[in-house]
Amino acid sequence: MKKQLYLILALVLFSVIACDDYVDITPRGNAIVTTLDEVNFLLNDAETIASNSRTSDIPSLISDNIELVDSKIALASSDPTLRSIASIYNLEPVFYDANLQDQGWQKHYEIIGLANYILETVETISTDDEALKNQYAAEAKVHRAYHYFTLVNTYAPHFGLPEANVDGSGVPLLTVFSDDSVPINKSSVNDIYDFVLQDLEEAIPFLTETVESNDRASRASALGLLAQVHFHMGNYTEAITNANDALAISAMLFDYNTDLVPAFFGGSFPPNLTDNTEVTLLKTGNVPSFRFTEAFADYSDELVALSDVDNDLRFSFNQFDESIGKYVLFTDFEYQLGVTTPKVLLIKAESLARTGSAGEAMDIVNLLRSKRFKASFVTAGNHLLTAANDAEAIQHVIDEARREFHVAGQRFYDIKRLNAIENAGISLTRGGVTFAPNSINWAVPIGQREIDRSNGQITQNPRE
Amino acid sequence: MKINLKKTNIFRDNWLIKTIMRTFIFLFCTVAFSLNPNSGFSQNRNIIIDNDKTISIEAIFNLIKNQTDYQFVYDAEMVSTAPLIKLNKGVIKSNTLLIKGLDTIGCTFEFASNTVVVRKKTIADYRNQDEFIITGKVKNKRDEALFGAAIVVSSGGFKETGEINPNFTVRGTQTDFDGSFQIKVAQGQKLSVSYVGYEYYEITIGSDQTEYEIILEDEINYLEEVVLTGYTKTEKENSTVASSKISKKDLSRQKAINLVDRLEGLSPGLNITSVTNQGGQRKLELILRGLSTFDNPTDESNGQRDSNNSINRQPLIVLDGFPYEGPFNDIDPQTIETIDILRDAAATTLWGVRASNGVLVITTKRGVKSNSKPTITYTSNTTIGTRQDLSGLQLANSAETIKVLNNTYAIRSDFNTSFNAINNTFRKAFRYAPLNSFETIWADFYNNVITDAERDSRLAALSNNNVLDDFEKYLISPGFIQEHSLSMRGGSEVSSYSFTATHVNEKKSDLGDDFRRLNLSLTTDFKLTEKLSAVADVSVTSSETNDNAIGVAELFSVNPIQIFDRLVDENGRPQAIRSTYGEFQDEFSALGFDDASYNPIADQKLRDNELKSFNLRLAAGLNYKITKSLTADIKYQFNRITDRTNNNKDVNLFEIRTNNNLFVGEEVDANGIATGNPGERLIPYGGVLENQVITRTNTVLRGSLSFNETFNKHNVSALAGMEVTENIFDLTRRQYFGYNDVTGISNVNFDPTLADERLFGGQQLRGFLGVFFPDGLKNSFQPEVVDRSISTFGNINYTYNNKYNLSLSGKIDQKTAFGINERLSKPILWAVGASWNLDKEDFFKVDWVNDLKLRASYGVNGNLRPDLTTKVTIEFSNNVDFINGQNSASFDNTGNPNLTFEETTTKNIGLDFGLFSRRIVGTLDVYDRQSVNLLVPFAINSTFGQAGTVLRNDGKISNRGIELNLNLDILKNTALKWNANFNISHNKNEVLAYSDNQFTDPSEIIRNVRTGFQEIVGTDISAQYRFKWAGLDIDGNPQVFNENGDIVGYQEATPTQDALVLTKPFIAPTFGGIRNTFEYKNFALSFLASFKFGHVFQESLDQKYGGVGATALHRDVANAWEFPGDEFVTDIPAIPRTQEEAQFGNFREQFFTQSDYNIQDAAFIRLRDITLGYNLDSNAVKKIGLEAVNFSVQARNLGLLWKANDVDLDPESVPFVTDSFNVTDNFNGAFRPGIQQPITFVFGVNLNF
Repeated sequence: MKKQLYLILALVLFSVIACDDYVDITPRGNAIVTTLDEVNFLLNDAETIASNSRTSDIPSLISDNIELVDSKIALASSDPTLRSIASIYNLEPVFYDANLQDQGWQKHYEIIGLANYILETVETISTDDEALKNQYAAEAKVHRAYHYFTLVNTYAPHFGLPEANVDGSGVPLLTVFSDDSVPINKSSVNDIYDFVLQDLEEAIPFLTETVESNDRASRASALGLLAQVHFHMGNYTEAITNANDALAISAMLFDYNTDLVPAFFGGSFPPNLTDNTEVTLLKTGNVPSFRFTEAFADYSDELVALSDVDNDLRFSFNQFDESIGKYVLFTDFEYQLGVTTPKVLLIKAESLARTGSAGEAMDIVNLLRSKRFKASFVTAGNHLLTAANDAEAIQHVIDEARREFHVAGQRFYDIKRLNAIENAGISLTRGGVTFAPNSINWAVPIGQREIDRSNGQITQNPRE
Repeated sequence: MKINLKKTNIFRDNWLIKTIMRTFIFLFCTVAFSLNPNSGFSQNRNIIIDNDKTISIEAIFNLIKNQTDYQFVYDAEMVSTAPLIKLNKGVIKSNTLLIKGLDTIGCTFEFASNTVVVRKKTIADYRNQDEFIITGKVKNKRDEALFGAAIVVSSGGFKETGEINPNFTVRGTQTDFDGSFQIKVAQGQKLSVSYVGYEYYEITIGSDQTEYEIILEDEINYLEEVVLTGYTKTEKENSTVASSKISKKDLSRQKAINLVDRLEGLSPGLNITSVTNQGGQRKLELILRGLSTFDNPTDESNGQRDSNNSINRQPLIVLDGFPYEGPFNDIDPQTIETIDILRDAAATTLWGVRASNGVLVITTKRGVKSNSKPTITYTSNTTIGTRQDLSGLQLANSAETIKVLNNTYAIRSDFNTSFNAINNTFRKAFRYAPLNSFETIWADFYNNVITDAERDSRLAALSNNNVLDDFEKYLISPGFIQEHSLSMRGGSEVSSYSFTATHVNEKKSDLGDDFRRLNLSLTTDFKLTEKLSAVADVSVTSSETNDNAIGVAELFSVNPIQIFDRLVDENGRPQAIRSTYGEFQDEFSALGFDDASYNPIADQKLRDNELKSFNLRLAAGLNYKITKSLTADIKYQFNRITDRTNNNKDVNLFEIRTNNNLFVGEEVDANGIATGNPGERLIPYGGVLENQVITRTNTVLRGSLSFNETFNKHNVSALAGMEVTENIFDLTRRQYFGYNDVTGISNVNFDPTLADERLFGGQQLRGFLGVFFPDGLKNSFQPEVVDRSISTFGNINYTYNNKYNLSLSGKIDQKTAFGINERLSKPILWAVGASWNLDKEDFFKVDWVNDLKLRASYGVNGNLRPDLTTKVTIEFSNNVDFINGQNSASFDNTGNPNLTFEETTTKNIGLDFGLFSRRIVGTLDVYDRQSVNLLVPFAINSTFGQAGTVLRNDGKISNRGIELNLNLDILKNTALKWNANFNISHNKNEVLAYSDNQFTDPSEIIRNVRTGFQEIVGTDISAQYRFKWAGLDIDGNPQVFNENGDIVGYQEATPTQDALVLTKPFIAPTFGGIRNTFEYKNFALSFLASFKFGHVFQESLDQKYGGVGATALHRDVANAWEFPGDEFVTDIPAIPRTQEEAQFGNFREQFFTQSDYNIQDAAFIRLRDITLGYNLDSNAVKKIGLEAVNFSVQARNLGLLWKANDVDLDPESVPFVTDSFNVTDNFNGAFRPGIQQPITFVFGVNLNF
C-alpha cells in the first residue's frame, strides 16, 4: 500500500517536470501562420485590403474637378473628425494635426504591412505546392506595389522632377512587418518607383490570369498597374504594351444604358464591390460625408462645363443640389481607386496619342464614350470626338479622364503627372493658397501624428 | 469467528443451540436485539471466590461454569481484549461478577435456560438506569456561545481517539442559539461535547451536578483562528500575513441571494463598486487595495476574448483550494463557512501570476467527524421589494420635453412627407419609418393636414402624459425573492458529510426579468485508514435567467419610448407608440411589409430570452500521513460551466418584424422607386432563434508534500508541490431563421452567409427603413481554446518559541501563451514575512494588553493577461467578408517580443491586538504596493504597418494605504450585549507612468471619458480631466475657462490641456463599514452601515443639454436659458437654436457636458440594512421536535444617512436595468446614476432539527 502510494506521488509530482511540452499546445481559433490556407485567409480579408475608405480624401479634394461651397467647408471645420476635409480642401500647411489620424497614410502602410507579413511568412512555409506559394507571394507584391505607388504619388514630388531623385524625397520604404526597430527614414521617389516596378515584374509570372473575386490580385490587375506606373514615368511604349496585355485578359466595359444598378438613396451606380467587372484590382474609397447626409463631392463648374450633362449618363451618379447650385455625388458612392478597364483604356489612349497614334487614341476614347452616353445619342453618333492632331487627341483623352473619374481622385495624380512629365502648367488655387505647377506643395503634408511619433526619422514635406 | 461450546454433550443436537448460534451471529450484524440481563438472568447464583486473584474474562466464565450448570456462548475474539479483573476473596453474585467483567469491554449478557449469551451492549442496555435532566451552556474561551455543538451522553468509550465510540452512545442533542442544552443523563455516564474547530470535551456525570458550563478550547485548525490561503493553513498566532476573515455568521446575517451583495462593508481593503451595467444588470466590481492594472474589463457578453481579458482586474477567487473560474454569483452563500481575504504578498504568493489584485479564499462547510446525529438546518428567506421610485430618474416631464423637441423639429423639416425628391432630406427612410405620436403631429403639420393651432393643441394634449405612470402600472413591479435552503451535516468517526440544497427564485422589478437558481453541494471526508484519508466534493449550480423586460432604459434606446407616450389606450388596452404614417400605411402594406408599429407592452409579453447556466464542480483529494510529520496530498478538481442562451424571437416581435422588413425585396427603377413585384422575402420569413453555447472547463491537479515538526521550541512547517491546470473555452453561436417555436421548425438550410447576394448587394430596403444592417446575422463557431499551465511552489514557516515567526514562499508559473519567451513563462514570484508576538515576551507585561503582534512582509506578485503573446497571431473569421463573401483572417495580435507579465511588489506592516480581556480586538495594516510593467497601449507609428496601439509594459501604478479593523465587545457579560465591528480603509492610488503619446488635444482627452480611458500621470487612476465651467454667456451659450484663466466661448480658440481641471477620483479612496449587534435575551438587533468618502460622480450629461438626438431629458432642461439675464440664474445652456448649435460633439455641447459643472461629490454614509432576529424559547421548540428556531426580519437598501451632493442623487444608485441601455451608454467609467434601489424586506426563518 505504502509503496504504491509513493509511486503515485512520485508520478504525479515529478513526471510533469519532465514535460514542458504540456504547455506548448497548438492553439486553434487564432494562430501563428504556418500554412498556405492561412495565408489565403489573410488575402481574403477584403474588408482590410480592398476597402480603403478615407484614402481618397486627399486626391479627391485636391483637384480642379471639385469645388466645395463655403457652407460645406464650415460644416467640416465644425466637426472634429471632419476638420481635415476643410484643411485639405483649403490646402492648409497641415492637413492632419497630431490629434487626427492621417487615415490615408495609415491605411496604405497597414496593407503594406500585411503584404510584408505575408511575404515574410510565406517563405517559412514548407509545402509541395510551390506554385500556390509563389502565387500568394505575388499577390502580396501587387498589393504592396499599388500602395507604395499611391503613397509616393500622394506624399512626394512626382517622378521625373529634379527633387524626386533626392534621398528623403519619397516615403519610408519598409519591407518588414511591425518592427519598430527598423528605420523609417524616407527613401527617394525613384527608389520607390524602382521598388514598385520590381515588385510587379517579379509578381506577374506567378499570378493567375484572372481571379474569382477582384479584391485578389491577378495578372490582369498587375499588368494594368504596371501600365499605370510606366505611364506616370512617361514610358509610353511600355505603358501601351502592358495595357494591351492587361486588356487582352480583361476588357470588360459597362454600358451605362443597361448596366447601372439603382442604389439605396436613389441614383444609379455602377455595381459596386466585387460585382464590378470593370475592376480588376478592387480598391475602393468613399465620398467623404457629414453624417451620411452632406457629401463633400461637389463637381467644379469647370468640370460641368466640360461635360454634356444632359446626355452623359455619368451624371446619373449624382444629383443637382439646387440649394448650392452644384452637382453632388451621393454619400454612399464608392470611388474605384484600383485598376479598372476605363483607367487602362485611357492610359493606353493617352500613351498612343503621345506616341503619334492619335487616331487609335480617339478610337479608344470614342469606344469608352459609346458606353457612357444615352443610347439614342450614341446611335446618332453624337458621342464621337475627333482630333485634328496629336495635341487635340491628347486633350480629348485628358478631358475624357476628367469626366470619367470626375471627383474620384484620379485628377490629382494626373495634374502632378502632366506637370512633371509633360510640363502642362496646371495650378490650383484655394483661397489665398496656390499650388503652382510642379511646386513642392504638391507633395502634400504627412499627418503630424506620424511625424511626431517617428523620433525625427520622418520629416514633414516642406511648404513653399 | 471462533465459537467455543463447552459441555456440548447435553446440547449437542439440540435445536436450541443452533438457534442461539444464529441469533448470536445475527447480533453481530445488528445491534437491534435487546434483553434485560437483570430480568433475564433469573437464577442469580452465589459464586465463591476462594482467594484474591486477577484473572481474565474467560477464567471468570470457567469459574462460574464450575460452580453452576451454566453454559457460555461468546465470541472469543471479543473477550480476548478485555483487561484482567481483580477479584477479592469472598462470595459474589454471578450477575455482579459478569457485569464487572463484561462492562470493561462494553458487553452484556443474556440468560436463556442455562446458557449465558455474551454480546455487545446496545443503547437500550444503558437507558434503564436512574436518569435525571441536566442543563448546560457551551462557550468558547472568548465567552462566545456556541450554537449547534454536538452533545452526546455515552457510557464507556475510548477517549484516546478523541471521538465517541458509536456503540456506547446513549443519546445526543445539540446546543441552541445561546449555546445552551438540556439532556437526560445517569450517574457514571459520560457527557461529551464536540464542535468543529474546538477540542473534544468530555466529563463524567456525577450524582448531584445538574448545571454545567462548558468552555471549549480552540482546536488547532479552528477555522476562525487560522489563516487559509488555499494552499496552506496557519494558526493566526503564528501567521505573518495580512488577511481578514469574513465568518459564516457575518455572511449569513446578510440576507441577499448573491454572495457579492453580502460582502459589502465586511472587510478592510475590499472596495465594492457599482460599475456600468454591462449585460443589463447592476454589476459590482471588487477592488482590493486599489486598482493595480490599466487593463479595462470589456463587455463579457461577447465571448472568449473579452472574458479572458477582463479577469485580471479583480481579486482571484479561490474556492476550496482551487481557483474558481465561474461566475461569482453561482456560489451559494449558504454553503460558505469562511472567506479569507488575502491582502499582502506573503499571503498571496502561492497564487503566482494571478495574485496581483489580491485573493479571496472561500471555504465551504464540511461535516463533523463525530457520532452526533445529523444537524439538519432549514433556512427560508422571503424578500419583498417595494416599488421603484421612477422619479429618481429626474426626467423632464412631457411638457418640458416637448418644448425642447419642438425647438429641434422647428429646425428640421424631416417630416414634410410631400417631398419625395431624392435631393431633399426627407427620403423614404422617413416616409416608412414608424413615427411616434409627437412626430405624427409634426408630419401632419408639415403636410398641411393640420393648422398651427391644431398642432399646438394636440401637442398640449400630449404634454399631459407621463409614460412613467404607465411603466409603474404595466412594466415594473416590486421585486420578490424566495430562497429555501436545506442543509445536513453529520458523520461518524470515519466519515463525515455536509450537504446543502438551496433554491432561489427571484422576480425582478422589471416585469419579465426573473432568475432561478438551484445549488446542490455535497462535501464528504473519509478516513480510510489511520494514515490515509480522502475527500470528495460535488457541487452543482443550475440557474435560469429570463431577460424579457422592457425597462426604463428603453427611454434611451434607438427607438425610444418617450415620456409623452401612452402605453395603453383609454380602455387600458396596450397600444402602439409608433406606427407608419397613416398616409403611407396602405402603400407600405402593399409592398409586402409587416406591420411596423411598436407596442411595448404587447412586445414584452412576446419576449422569450433565456439563459440557462449549469455549473458542475467535482473535487477529490487523498491525504496520506507518511510519517508523523510528513504528509502527502493529491487534489483534483474538475469544473465545467455551460451557459446556454436561447433567444426565441417571435415573428410578431417588433424587432423581428423590422428585421423581416429589411429583407423584403422589391423591383426599383433607376430612381429607386418601387415598380412592382412586392413582397419577395430575401430571408426565410418567420421568427428567429438565437442560440449560443459557451462552455468553460477547468481542470486542476495538484500534488504536494507538507512537513510539520516541533523540536523543543522550534516549529517548522513546510509545503512543496506542483500543479497542472487546463482551461478550455468553447463557443458556438447560431441563428435559426424562419423559426417557429411551436413546431420547432426553422429553415435549417438557410445560411445567411450564403444567402442571396442581394442581402449584401445593396438592393434590399434597409436604407429605406433607416435601420442598420443587423450585426447578429452572422453565425460563428469558436474552436476550443486551450490554455494550460504548470506551476511549482514552496512555502516554509518557522516559529521559535511561539514568539517569532518567519515565512518564505515562492512560485514558478509556466503558462501557455504561445510565443512567450522563457523569461516570461517562468517568473519566480516570492515573498517573505515575519511576525513577532510581543505579548509573549517576558518583558512585555501590560495587564490590559492580551494580544499584540507585529507583522511585516515583502513580496512580488504577478498579473498576466491571458491572451498576451509575443508573436504575430491571426484570428479567423467565418463571418463572411462583407466584400467578397469569403472566410478570412486578420491580425489578432501583432506581437511584441518584449512583453512580460505585470508585477506588483507589496510591502506591508501590520499590528494585531487584543485589549482589555479581548474586548477590543483589531488589526491595523499599512501597505505600499508598487505595480510596474503594466500593460499600456502605445500608439505606434502607423508607418510600421499597423494602425492604432500596441501593448507595452510601460505603465506604473502605486497604491498606498492604511486599513483598520476593530471588533468591540462594548457590553459583554450583561443581559444586553453589544458588539460592534468597525473597519475603515484608505487607499491612495497614483498613476506613475502611462504612455501618453495618444492625445494632446483637450477635446480628445475629454472625449475619452466616453470610452473610459483617461489615465493621467501623477494622479488617481480614476480621476479625470474636465473643462473648468465658467457659466453661460449673454446668449445662453456655455463657457469655460481657458489656460490663462479667461472665460471663452465655444467659437473662440479651443482651450489647451492646461485649461483642464482634474476631478477627484471616481473610485472612493476611503471606505468602510460599521456593524452593530445588540442581543437581549432571545432578541438580536443588528445594523450595517457603509460609507465612502473622497470621490466624485458625474451627473447625466446630454440629458441636461437638450441637443439633437436626446430622447429622454433631465428635468433641469426646464431651467435652460431663454432670455438675456437668465445666465445669472441658470447654468443650463439655451436649447440649441440652429443646426450648428444642435450638433452633437461640438465644443458647445462638450463645454457643458464635459465640464466640472456636472461633477458632484459622491461621499455618503449608507444604512445598508437593519436586522431583527428572535430565537424561540428552546424548551418550547423541543416539544415540537426541533432543536432551535430563529426568525429574522431584515430591511435592506435603507438609503443614505448622509450624502455630500446637493442634487438629490444616490451616487451608487442603480443605472438602468436592461440590455438596450448599453446602446447609448458610452460612458464607461463615468457613473450615470439612475433609480435608487428600492427598499426591500426579508423575512427569514431558520429551523434546526
